[in-house]
Amino acid sequence: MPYDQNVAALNLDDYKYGFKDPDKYVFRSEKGLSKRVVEQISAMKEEPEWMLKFRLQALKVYESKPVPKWGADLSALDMDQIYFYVKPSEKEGRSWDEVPEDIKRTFDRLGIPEAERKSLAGVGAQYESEMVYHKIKEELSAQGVIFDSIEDGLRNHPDLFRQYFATVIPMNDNKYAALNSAVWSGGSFIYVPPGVEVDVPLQAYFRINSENLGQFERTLIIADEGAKLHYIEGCTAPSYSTDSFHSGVIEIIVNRGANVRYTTIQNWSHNMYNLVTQRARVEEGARMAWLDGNLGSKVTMKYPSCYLMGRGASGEILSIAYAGPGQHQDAGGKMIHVAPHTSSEIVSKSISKGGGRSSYRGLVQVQKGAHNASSNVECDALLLDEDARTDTYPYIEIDENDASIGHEATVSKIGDEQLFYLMQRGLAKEEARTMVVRGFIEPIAKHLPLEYAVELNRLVELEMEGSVG
Amino acid sequence: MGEFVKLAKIDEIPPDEMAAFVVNGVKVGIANVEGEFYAFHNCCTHQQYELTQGFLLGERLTCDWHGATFDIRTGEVKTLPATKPLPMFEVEVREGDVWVLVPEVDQLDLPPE
Amino acid sequence: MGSSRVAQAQAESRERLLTADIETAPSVRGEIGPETVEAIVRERSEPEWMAARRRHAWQVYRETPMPTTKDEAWRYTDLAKIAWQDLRMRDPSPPERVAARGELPVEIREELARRGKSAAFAVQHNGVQLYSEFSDELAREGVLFLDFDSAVSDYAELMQKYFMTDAVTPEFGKLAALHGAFVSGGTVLYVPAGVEIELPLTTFRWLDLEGVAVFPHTLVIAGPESQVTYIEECASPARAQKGLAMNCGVTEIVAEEGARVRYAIVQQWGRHVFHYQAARVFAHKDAQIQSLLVTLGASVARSDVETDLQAEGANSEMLGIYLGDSDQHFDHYTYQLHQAPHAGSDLLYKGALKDRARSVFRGMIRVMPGAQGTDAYQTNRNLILSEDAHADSLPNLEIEADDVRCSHGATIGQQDEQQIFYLMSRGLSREQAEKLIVSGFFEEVLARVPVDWLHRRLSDEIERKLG
Repeated sequence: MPYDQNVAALNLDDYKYGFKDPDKYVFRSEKGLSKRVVEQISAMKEEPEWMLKFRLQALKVYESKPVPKWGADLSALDMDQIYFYVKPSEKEGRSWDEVPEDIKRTFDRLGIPEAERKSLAGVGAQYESEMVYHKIKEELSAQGVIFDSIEDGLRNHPDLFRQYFATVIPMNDNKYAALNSAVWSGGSFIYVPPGVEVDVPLQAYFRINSENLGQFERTLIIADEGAKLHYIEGCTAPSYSTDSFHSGVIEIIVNRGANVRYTTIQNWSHNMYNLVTQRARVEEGARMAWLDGNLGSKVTMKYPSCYLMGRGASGEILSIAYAGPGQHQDAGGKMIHVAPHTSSEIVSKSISKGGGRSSYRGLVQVQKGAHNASSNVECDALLLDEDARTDTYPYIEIDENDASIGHEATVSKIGDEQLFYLMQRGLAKEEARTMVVRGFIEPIAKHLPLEYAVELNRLVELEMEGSVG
Repeated sequence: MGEFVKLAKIDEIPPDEMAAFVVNGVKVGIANVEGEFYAFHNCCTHQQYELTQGFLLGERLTCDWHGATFDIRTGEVKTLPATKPLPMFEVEVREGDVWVLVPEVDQLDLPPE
Repeated sequence: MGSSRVAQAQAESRERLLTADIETAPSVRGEIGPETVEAIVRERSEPEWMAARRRHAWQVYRETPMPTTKDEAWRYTDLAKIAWQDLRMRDPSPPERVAARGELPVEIREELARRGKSAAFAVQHNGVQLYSEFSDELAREGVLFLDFDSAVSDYAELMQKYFMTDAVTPEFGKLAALHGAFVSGGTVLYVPAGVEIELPLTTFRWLDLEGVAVFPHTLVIAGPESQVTYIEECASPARAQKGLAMNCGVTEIVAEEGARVRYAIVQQWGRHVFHYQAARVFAHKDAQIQSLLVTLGASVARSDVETDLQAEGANSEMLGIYLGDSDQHFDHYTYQLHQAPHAGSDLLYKGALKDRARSVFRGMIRVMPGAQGTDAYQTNRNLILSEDAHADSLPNLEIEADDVRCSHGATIGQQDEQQIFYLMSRGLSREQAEKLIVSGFFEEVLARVPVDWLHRRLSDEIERKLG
C-alpha cells in the first residue's frame, strides 16, 4: 500500500505551539557548560553554600559519566551550543498582572489564564529558566498546602527541602540527572500536609522560547500521610532549525496512605531533546500514578518509576507515545517492588509513522522480601506505515517465588478487516483510520483532563491527515 | 563464622578517605569518618558496584555508579536507588592497626534484613 | 541445621569453583595464546586453510573486548567470576578411539542403553570421537556423518565453505572467537538434496575432564528438500567433579531450500562445568527448522540461540526447557531475525527453578524493513519453586515493517495453589502434586518433541531432577 504522503517530512507549520516571541531576558549565561556557569546560576539565586557545593559536585559527576549507548541516538546533541541559564524577568509574579507583558501574551496564547479560570487548585508557569508565575487557591494555602517555585521552596522551607531533595533521584543516578543537579532552575516545590486532599489538579506550564536553550526544571513533591494530589504539566516550545534541550528531574515522596497522580503531556517542538528523570518513593498503602504522554520532541528518553517501599503500596504508569517523521520516543517505566503486597501496572501504547520510532523500555523488579507482589505490563504498538519502527525492551527481574508477573506485547497495523467494516458503515477510509487510532489510544486518553484529551485527539487527527494513499 | 583480619595501619587511611580490600573473596571497604573506622561490604546493594570508587562526605558514602547513598556508620540507606542496607563489619583498632571481622562469602548471600 | 550445612558446603564449593582472582586477571593468560593455537595445528597435522582459520579466530578473540556485566548481553552473567581463563585449552591426554561398541567405557554404555533407536550415532569423550555407527544405506544415499577432524582432513571443500563462514563467525562474540581458535572436535552432518531420514541421528558427548576446556563444533548442512533430525546429548559421570571444566561449543545449521531440520541439544553436564553454546540456524526459502534446547546440567550455562530467516516461507520453531536447582545459573539468549517477507518464527521457552537457582531469558524478535507478512511469536514462562530462586525475563521486539503479526509474552510466578489443593484433595501428597504440576508445565514443550524416546527420556530426567 503506498503511503507516500506519510513519508514526507512533517510540516512543522502544523505544530500549533510553534510561534516564537522575540528573545528578552534580564540575564543569559554564556553558551556551553562550565564551572563558571554553574557558579553564576547559584549566585543569581543567592543560594546557601551547601547547594553550590552540591551543584559543583554534580558537574563533576556529569562530566565523568559517558553518554548512554542504549536508547535514542544522542550523538547530534551539542552541549556547547546550549545556553544553560536564561533569566526572563526580575521576579516571579504573584498575580497575573505582575507577569511581564510579552511573556503574559505568550501564555495567553497557550491558554493559561483561561485554564486558571477553570477552577484549578493552582497554576504555575515557567518561561525559559525561571518560574514567572505561581498561584495557589487561598483555601488550600490556608490548609498548609505549599505550591512554590523550587527556588522559593529552598528559601522558605529549607529544612523540609533539604530533608527530601535528591533523596529520590541522587545526582549520580544518570548523566542527565547529574546535569540537572548542576544547573537546575525553575520547577515546583509542593507540600501537601497530612490528610489534606487537593481534589482539583495543580497545573504547571513549561515554555521554552529562545533558540538553543536548555531548560532544567527541578520539581519536588511531598504528599504527606493520607494526602491527595494531582499535578499536571504541559510543555511546548517554538520550532527552530537547531536543537534545544530539556532535562528535568522530578522527585515525588508519597507518604503512608497518600495518593499522587502526575500527568505530563509533552508536546515539545520537533527540535527538542527531552531527557527527563521522574521517580516516586511510595510508602505503605500509598498510591502513585504516572500518566506520561510523549507527543512532541525530536528525542525523548523518559521512564517514570515507582519505588514501592511500603507494604501494600501500588503504582501505575500509563504511557502514550506518538513518533512521527524524525522522532524517536524512547519511553516506558520502572516498577521496583521492595515491600510485600505491592502491586503495579504499566500500560503502554505507541503509534509510529513515517520513519518515526517508538520504543518501550521498562523494568519490573521484585526484590527479596517483597512477598505476594503482583505486576502486569501491557504494551501495544501500532504501526501506520512500512517506514515506522517499534521496539519493546522489557526487563523482568524477580527475586521472590510468590510473585505474580505478566508481560504482554503486541505489534500491529490497522487491520484491513477493521477498515472494511468501518467503511461499510459509510466512513471514508481516512476517517476510518482515524477512528481506529482513536480507539487504540482511548484507554489512556480517558484518564486525561478534558482539555488534554481534546488536544490529543486533535493531534491524532492532524497526524492522520493525508495518511491514506 | 569469619575472623578478624588485620587490613591496614591507621595512618594509611586518613580522615574522609576510604580503602578497599579483598579477603577470601569478600570485598571489604574501610572508611575513616573523623578518626573513627567503619568497615563495610564493598558492594553497593543496588547493583554491586565497588563503593570505595564513590565519594565520602562526612558519614555519607555515595556510590559512583547510580548515586545510592549510605550512612557509613550504620549501613542505613539514605537515598534511592538502593533499597537494602549495607552489611557492616565489626572493626577493632589494635596497636595502630585496623582489624576487621570479615564474614565468609556465603554469609553475605543472605539478604540483609 | 543439617540441610543448611549442606547448602553451605555447596555454596563453598561453588565459590571455589567460580571465584577468579579479579584483581590479577590479565586479558590473556595461561594457555590462551597464539602458541597454543600453533601447537594444536601441529598436533592435529591440520591443513594450512584450517590453520589460517584458527589464526584469524585468534586475532578476533584478541581484538574483542572481554564482555563484562556492563555489556547488555552479559548483564546477568559475570564471566570474571568464572576461572575459565585459567583452564588448559586442550586436553593433554586425550582418550583413545575404540573399535567396537563393547569396548566403550562401561558408564558410557550404561548411558547409551537408556536411549532409543537412532539411524546413526557417535560417541565423543572429552571432545574426541571414540566410536560411531552409521548404516550402509545412509552412506549409499550420500549422507555424511563425520567427526570434525575427519571432515577437516577429508572434506576440505565442504568445510571451507561452511565452517564458521556464515552461520556463526568468530565475530559472533568473544567466546565464539575462542571456539574458532581452539575448536577440538565435534560432528559434521551433511544430508544431500531430497534425502529424508526418518530416525534421528545422535551424538553422545561425555565430559569427565577437570581443569580443561573443550570446544566441540556441530555443523549440519541439510540440502534442498531433505529431512533430518539430529540430537546431541551432553553428559558427565554422576560422581562429583572438583575442578572446573568448560564446554565452549558452536552449532551451525544451514537449511537449504525446502529442507526440514530438527535439532535438539540436551545439556546434562556435571556441576563442575561452565557451559557456553552458540547455535545459529541459517534458513533458506521454505526451510522448516525446529530447535530444542534443554538445560539441566552445568553450574553456569549460557546459550545464544539464533535463527536467521533469510528467505520467504522459512519457518523456525524454537523450543527451550530449563530446570535449575542448587546454585545453577542459566542464561539464555535467543534471536529471531526476520530478513525476508512471509517467514514465521515461534518461540516457547519454559523454565522452573528450585533452591537458589537463577535463570535469565533474553529474547529478541527483529523484523527488518521490508519483511512484510512476518509472523513472529515469543513466549517465556517461568515457575519459581523456592524462596531463593530467581528468574529474569527480557523479551524484546524490534520491528521495522508494519504488515506483521508479532507478540511476546512473559510470565514469572509460582505454582497455582488451587491446582495443588485440587490434586491433594484427590489423594496426592503435596510433593506429588507439585511434581505433577511442574511436569505438566513442561509437557507443553515436550509434546512438540517429535522423537518419542527423547520425549520420554526428558520427562524422566525432569522428574528425577524434581526429586
